Amino acid sequence: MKLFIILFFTSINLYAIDELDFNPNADKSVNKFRKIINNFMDLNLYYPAIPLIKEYFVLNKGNVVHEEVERAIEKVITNIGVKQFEFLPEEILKESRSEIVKYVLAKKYFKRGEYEKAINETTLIPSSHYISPFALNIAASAYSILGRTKEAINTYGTCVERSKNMFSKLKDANQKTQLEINQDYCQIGIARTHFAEKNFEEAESKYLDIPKSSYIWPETLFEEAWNSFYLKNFNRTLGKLVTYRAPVFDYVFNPEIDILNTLTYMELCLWSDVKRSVDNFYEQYEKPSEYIAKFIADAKENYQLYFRLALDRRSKEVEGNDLFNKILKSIIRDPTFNEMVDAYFLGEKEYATISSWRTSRLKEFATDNLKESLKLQRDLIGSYVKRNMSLKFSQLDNAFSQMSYIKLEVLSRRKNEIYSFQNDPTLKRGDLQYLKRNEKQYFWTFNGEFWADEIGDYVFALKSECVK
Amino acid sequence: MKIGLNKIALTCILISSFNLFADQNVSLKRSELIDLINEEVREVNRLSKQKQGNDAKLLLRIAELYLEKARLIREEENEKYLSLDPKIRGKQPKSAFFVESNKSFLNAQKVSEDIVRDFPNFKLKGEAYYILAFNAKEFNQVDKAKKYFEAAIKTSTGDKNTQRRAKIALGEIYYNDGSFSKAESLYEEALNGEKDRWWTKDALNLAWCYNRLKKNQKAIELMLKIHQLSQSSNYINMTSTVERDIGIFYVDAGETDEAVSFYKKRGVKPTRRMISLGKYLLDKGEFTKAKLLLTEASKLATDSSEKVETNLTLMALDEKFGQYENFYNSAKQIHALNKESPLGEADLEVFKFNIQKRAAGLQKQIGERAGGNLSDDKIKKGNEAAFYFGVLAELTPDKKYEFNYYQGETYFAVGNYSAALQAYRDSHKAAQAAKNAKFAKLSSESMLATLGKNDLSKKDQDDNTVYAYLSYLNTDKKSEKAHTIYQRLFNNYMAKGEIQNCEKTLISFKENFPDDLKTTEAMLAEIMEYFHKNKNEGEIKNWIKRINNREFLVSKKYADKLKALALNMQFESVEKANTSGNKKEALEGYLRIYHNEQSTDIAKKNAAYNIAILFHEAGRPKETSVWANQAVKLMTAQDVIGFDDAFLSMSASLFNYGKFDEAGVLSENIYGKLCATTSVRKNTIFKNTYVIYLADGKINEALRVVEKGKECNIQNSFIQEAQLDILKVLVETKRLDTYKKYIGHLEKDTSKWGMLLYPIFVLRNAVIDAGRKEEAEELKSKILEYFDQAQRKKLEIPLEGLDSVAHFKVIELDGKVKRLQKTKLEFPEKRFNELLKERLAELDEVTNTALEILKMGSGKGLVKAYQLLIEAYQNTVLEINNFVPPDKPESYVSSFKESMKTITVPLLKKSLDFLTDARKQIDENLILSNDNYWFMSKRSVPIKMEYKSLNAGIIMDRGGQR
Repeated sequence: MKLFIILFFTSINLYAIDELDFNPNADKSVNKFRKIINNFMDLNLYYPAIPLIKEYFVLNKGNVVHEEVERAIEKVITNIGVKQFEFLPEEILKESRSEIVKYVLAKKYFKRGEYEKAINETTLIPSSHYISPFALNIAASAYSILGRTKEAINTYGTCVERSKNMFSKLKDANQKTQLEINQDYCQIGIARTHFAEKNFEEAESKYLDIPKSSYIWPETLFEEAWNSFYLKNFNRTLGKLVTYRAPVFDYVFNPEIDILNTLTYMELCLWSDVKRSVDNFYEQYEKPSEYIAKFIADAKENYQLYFRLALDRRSKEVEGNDLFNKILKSIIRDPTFNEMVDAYFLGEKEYATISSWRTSRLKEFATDNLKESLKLQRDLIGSYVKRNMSLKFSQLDNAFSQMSYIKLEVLSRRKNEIYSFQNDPTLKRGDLQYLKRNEKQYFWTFNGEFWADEIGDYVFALKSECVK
Repeated sequence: MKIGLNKIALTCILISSFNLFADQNVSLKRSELIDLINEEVREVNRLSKQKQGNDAKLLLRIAELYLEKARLIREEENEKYLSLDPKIRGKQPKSAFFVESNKSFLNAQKVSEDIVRDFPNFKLKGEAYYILAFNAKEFNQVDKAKKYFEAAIKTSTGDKNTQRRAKIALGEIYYNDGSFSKAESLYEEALNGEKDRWWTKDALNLAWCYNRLKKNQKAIELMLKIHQLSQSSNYINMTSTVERDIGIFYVDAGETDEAVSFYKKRGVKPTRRMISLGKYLLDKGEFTKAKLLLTEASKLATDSSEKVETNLTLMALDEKFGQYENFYNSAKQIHALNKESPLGEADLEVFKFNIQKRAAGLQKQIGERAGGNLSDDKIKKGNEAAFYFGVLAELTPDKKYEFNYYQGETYFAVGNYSAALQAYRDSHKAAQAAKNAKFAKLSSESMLATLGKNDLSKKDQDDNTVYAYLSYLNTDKKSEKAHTIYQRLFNNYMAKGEIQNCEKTLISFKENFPDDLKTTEAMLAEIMEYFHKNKNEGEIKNWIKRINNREFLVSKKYADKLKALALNMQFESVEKANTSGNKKEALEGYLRIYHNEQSTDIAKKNAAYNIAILFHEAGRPKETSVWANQAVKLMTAQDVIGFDDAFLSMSASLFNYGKFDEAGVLSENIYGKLCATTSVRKNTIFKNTYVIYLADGKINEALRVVEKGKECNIQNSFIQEAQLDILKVLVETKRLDTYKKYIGHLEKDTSKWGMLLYPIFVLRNAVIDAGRKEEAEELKSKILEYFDQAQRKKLEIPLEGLDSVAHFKVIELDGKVKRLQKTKLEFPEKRFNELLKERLAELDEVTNTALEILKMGSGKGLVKAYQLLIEAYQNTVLEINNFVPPDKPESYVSSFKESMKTITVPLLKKSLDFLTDARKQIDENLILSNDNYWFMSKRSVPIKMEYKSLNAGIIMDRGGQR
């Protein structure tokens, strides 16, 4: 169960970044910074403003943040994302009265495991603010982790409602998408919380509330598969997992899918399926993973390399093997990644704007700032890609062990069966009578083809071969 | 989902037994296990490789897997090794058979050594040592094993479980070494403190250490503790082992009573334990104690195996102490127990050995005193020995004949003939089954000898004689003795009515003594008599058939006798039914006989006759006809003569039923059968036959019959009658051509002319009717000629023939009378006198002619002749009386009349005489003539009043047919 929760909440990393060093500029006047920031805002130049805002916070430490700066922060974060500010020290961030900064701070607390603090921070954000639904998501997640189920579910519910309400108020398409995703995450959060509380039947029902059109629906399949697993509805687990074989999900890379698949076979005592599954896994991934291991080792901290690689993968397959390309594809489909890349390209536009200026100190200043910010954005992206790739590799590496242990478990059980002379060869595969369903599910027989309207509804009909 | 090595039960393999595979799939399962282990090794190796070989836990797992695999392979190799012929086994060093397992053991050892060397701080290092120790133990490297176990104990301070197991394993080695003290301390250390599931099992070893170290009380106390803990499911249940061993501990402690008490107190059946203890004491040479304990145990024993074991052990003791009475009792008990539930192989052998030994001894004792009087002691011993032999026979199927024979001999020796007979008989049966000729002969001869003993009861005689004879004949069929035994056996069977056995005996006798026809015939006669008495005609026929087929040679006399017997039998029952009025049954019986293929011709003939009779009696003409004809066909002429009345009756009956065809055929058949005989009956049959045919309008058939009459020597009168009858019928049926031809045929024989007068007359009438007058004249001439010839030759002339001839004479007479009447008287006187004279002369001629007719003997002619004669006389009288002379005075007339009276009165008288004669003749000769009326009328004036039938009237023919 513990393993599952950890896997589960990696999705919170949507807004997560790696820690990066930051060296603020010195010898600058607070007000001068404020004015320049203000000017950049007027010109819709966000990247050049970022270093100034950061410096402003440092210089202005202990004083009230000027309203104009607060507004500038919100504007920058809205357009470029929170990443650039997430690594600002907590004391600095605390200075701001901005709701968005409070959200950034809450996230920071959450990531550090300071859930109470995170919850408190979110309470400071007024419900009318557009960041409020996102903040509720963090709060609900924190409640869930703290085991305060009721509050978690209530908060997720509020998050869903507020996301819906907020949707009409927003005009920016990116923001709308973010809000939609947030709403779905809150929706799924309810299911996850029930799951964490072992209310599997309730969780199963809640998972079904996520529409197939949702961006996050593919990842809920996996969670649903686990839920069915715990409900001992193994045929449904297998049915959910087989969905990932549909071509439309060729970008999904999650070794846990194979593990769960194998585990399910094990629960059904389908020893030969387990063995085949394990062997296939090794055959499929063992060698390709060696390439990835070498790549990661060779690339070290070369974020630019990762950045380039990810951008290249957006348009075509890159050098390496299928697994490598698949992992990259799973990363470049991530909304966080895309937002960051979009923001990066926004910076390029700003650069074009500034380049058209006549030469001046401001131009030079703005260009320097922009370059610095853009370089940081690029490294953030590269770092994000590297981190995800390492994570996937680590999952894969771990999966090998898991698979081996599953196989050993199976071999051991088989041995015990022989030692105890229990073996029932009369058991056969595939029979509808082993299916269970609720009112939201339909039965489909999976015949190796994938139909859009059937996806996610496949159910297997394998009979357990466990000796009673 | 955390899956790790800790979840996989590894260590249990080191302590659990691998002898799990007792079924026939052992090899398959083991092979499957080895495959699985190989796969496990590969997988753990893969894992280990992922961890760059730095995970000692994985290495330990690999070592364990190698060890597990080694054990499995070793088992298989062991099996193969043991199954080999020792000679082949000895050709190679033993190690050559264990190459594969050794490889695996060495792999386990190598990996364990690596762990010990490369991971000095590995907290499970003790387990690696444990594997090394175990390996060493496997290779019989006891010292090395001890060293490693000690290392395991030393290094597994943090792993109490391994340490404890190592101590116990080491303790076991010391115990086996006989180093009980060292073992004791190791066990004590291992078992001190927390008790795991295996504690009870390990503690038992410690208890034995105490026992060996003579720490009896400690041993008993520990055993009690183990017993107590074994009642809990948390511990391996060692109850039965404790209960098995604690008795020994008590006995060793001198507390035998405590042992019994222990068992009783715990509700444990003590018998088994006491038996073990008894044996234990026997081994220790404490016989008296052992005997007491076992005697006690035998009293308490409830189940069969316990009883067997106690008694068996006691038997050995009783023999040792010469207590044969007890020995005998135990043997009887064991024998009874074996019947309830068969003894185990080993027990059985011991039991058999003991009683055989004793029986042989007893037989020797009896034999030594043979010939003397039978003492009670000898009889007792004999019966005892016989019992043992009997039991041995029962328990030793392959030697049953031998033991039963000895049993019989023993019984015989002590005068128990009845039992001896049975034993010999059993021996003989078994010997035959085993095809042991020697004992078969011995036992059969012994049976015959025993049967000769006077003391034997009749029942024994009856029950065994046949068997004895048969068994003797089984071994000897040709000797003089066998000849006698055959006859005795036959008589025995016959006396008991076992006819099939009689038959078998006869056949066997005939085969072995083919020349002794006399005895064979005598046996046959008895068999036939048996079947006769039992009215089994089928069998008799069967035997006759076999005799006819010369399967058995018998004298002709006997063969004929048999045939008669068979026929007799065949009819007996049916006739009985017939006479008792059960006609249906009788009829069915006769039909059966008739249709039975085995029935002889005689039987069939008789049956057919009887069937005909029965149908005849039942008024069934059709069937009567069929069967009577069949009977006649089958019968000889003599047979038919014998039954002619009946046949005539049947024929008549058929006729009466209107079955003319059938009647005719039957009659003709009978006639045909009688033709050549001298039977007087044949004339009647002849007549019947043609009459029947004629009645049925079958002229040709009738002619055929009559034609054959001469050949069959039928009396002429019958033939003639027949021929006339035929002629009559031909006339009646208007077959004139045939009629004429037939007359032509008959008249060739002049002797028939008399009888042919009437037929020719008839023919003449017909010819006249046809207008052939000339032919009619010829025929008339023929009639007259034949009549003359017939008269001359004095041939018989039928009345009708006479009437025919008379017919012509009467016409002549009639003409003369008419001429006479035409002569009228007239005057003058002269003329009158001439005319009167003429008239009287004519009257005289008439009279002469009439007399000729009267002489002929024709009734009809006679009557007519008389009539004409009288008319002539009276007419003459009337003519004279009525004449009145013309023109003469009255006186003249008167005188004339008076004078005329002298003529007329005699004439009238003469006519009246004729009348009287005629009447007399008619009456006397029973003449039937149309003219009779003329004479019989009382009228004064005769008037012609004859009755004539009309041709148009309905005429019934002879058969009643229209």
